Amino acid sequence: MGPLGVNVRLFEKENKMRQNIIRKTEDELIHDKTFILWCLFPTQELNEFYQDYLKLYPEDEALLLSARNKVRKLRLSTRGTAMTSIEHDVLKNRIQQGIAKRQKRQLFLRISYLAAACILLLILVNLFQQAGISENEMETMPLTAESLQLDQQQTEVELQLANEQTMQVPNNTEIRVDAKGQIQIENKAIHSIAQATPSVAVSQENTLRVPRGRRSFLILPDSSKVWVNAGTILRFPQQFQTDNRTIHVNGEIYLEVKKDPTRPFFVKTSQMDIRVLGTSFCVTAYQEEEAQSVVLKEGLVAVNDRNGTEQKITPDEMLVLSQDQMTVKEVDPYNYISWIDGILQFKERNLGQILDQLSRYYRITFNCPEELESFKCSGKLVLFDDIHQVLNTLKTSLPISYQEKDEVIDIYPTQE
Amino acid sequence: MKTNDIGYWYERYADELFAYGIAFCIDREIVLDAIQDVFLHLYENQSKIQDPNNVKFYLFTSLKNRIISILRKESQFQELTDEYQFELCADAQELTLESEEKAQYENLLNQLLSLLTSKQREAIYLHYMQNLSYEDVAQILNITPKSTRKLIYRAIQKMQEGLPIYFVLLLLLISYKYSH
Repeated sequence: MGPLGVNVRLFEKENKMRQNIIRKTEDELIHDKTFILWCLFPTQELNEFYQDYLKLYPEDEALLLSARNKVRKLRLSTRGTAMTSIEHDVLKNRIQQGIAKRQKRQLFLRISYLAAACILLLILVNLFQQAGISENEMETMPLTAESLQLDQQQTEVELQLANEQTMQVPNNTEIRVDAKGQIQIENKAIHSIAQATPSVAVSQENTLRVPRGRRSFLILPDSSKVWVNAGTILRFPQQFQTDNRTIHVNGEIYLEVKKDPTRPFFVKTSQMDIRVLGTSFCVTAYQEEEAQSVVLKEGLVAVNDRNGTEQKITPDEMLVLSQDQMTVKEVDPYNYISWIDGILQFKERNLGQILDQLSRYYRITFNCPEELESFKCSGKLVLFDDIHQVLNTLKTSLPISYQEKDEVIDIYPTQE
Repeated sequence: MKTNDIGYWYERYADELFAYGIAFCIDREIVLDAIQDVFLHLYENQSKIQDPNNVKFYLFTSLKNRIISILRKESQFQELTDEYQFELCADAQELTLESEEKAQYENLLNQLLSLLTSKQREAIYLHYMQNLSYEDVAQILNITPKSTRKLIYRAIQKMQEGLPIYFVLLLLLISYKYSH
């Protein structure tokens, strides 16, 4: 077909379109499907159509625009109702918390390389066992009262070896158990395990007892590091088994666990089993305290209570197990691990909370009037071996004084 | 972009993102979680977004990706990534008309929208309701801008042709009845 054919076709198309353009009143327009579609979806094709319409009926421009403004109030929404103001605010809050958490994490990474590689687990163990646990169950549990009870008369760190031999370890000294089960204290080899069959060797367990006011530091056979806080008993094998690494604790410890996917790391307390899924972690536990808790610095851990409930926690979270209930909240982990540096660090913390931490560290009880408990303090306290040195520091910086009687320390305000 | 801008962008786009997300026929909670992830992702990647004009596109793309990965996880068949629902409905409440007539409008448009595929509905929603360019819509739908243009063109055409004329006449009749 030549140019003529094309022209004919174009003419026909134009003619057909003209025929389709029927003049409409405003009311007709707003009920016209094509018009409605144009208002909502102004495609090029529809734009051209209504340009042609106006070419034919230029006097209708105002009418067309008025009809269009009416129809354009039609909206296409998605199904369901819009976000409610409560949903809006709750979500905003969650996002702000998430951002704060990330900022905190970044800041923390800068402050401490060590901390960045770690997880903190804080476990406070209840001495008074939950009512639901029968005596039989108690016996099958790895943490029996006899096996992990601290002698109140003990004043120095003691290491009880698998062969029942007990030795004193200087405060805050490194104890290293190498892969062969050899123990070194401050780089001095003190124990060499008999080269018996491996099955005998792995079953051997050591017990580390750290009395109040003392700390210890242990390197396990897999090179994992354990900081042991005051008033803690820790049971660990001479050599780990081939399929898992398990330690038992009553008290407070902080761990950096060496990554080994073939041997998961477990920390067992009287009330929970903690499975370490990340690279490093830290544990602390006291049987006589009402609640147990885990604070995670980095990585991921799963906590199982005695009812078989599992709860995972992520960094900067604290899990508290109290009266069979596990709750998770956000915390600054350093507030719970500063003891590994031999200090208590706090910012705008109540005096009551600081005394709580001191009482945990030194295993003593404070008696503090309520009006003093809400006293806000910021700063650092060096955890001296002797509680009196710490109390004297508090006395000089705060308007308080103290009196000691029968393991209880009474705090009272000083007269101005 | 600055850190404190996240709050600003949230106030500006959270409602629109929610409306978009809920169209995929998933639970409100899942949409809310996805939006949280999207804004935290924005916070972490804000240095990469130089032009504030791109934030809206970034948020919509990010939400779509999140939702697709959620749907993929839920689906037994990992390959069915393009098979999702996207539902739209008409809202005539703003029109200055009688409520019966508003309902008729909504009915008409809902009928028209039901003629389209989910992808077509999503495309016209993003382009005409969210005012995203063909290029942006193309990226969100993971197709070329040319295909996007075609997809939208065909959708409008389908709606123009698709509905029987008597339906429109019925509308006219009803409006006539009310005006007299």
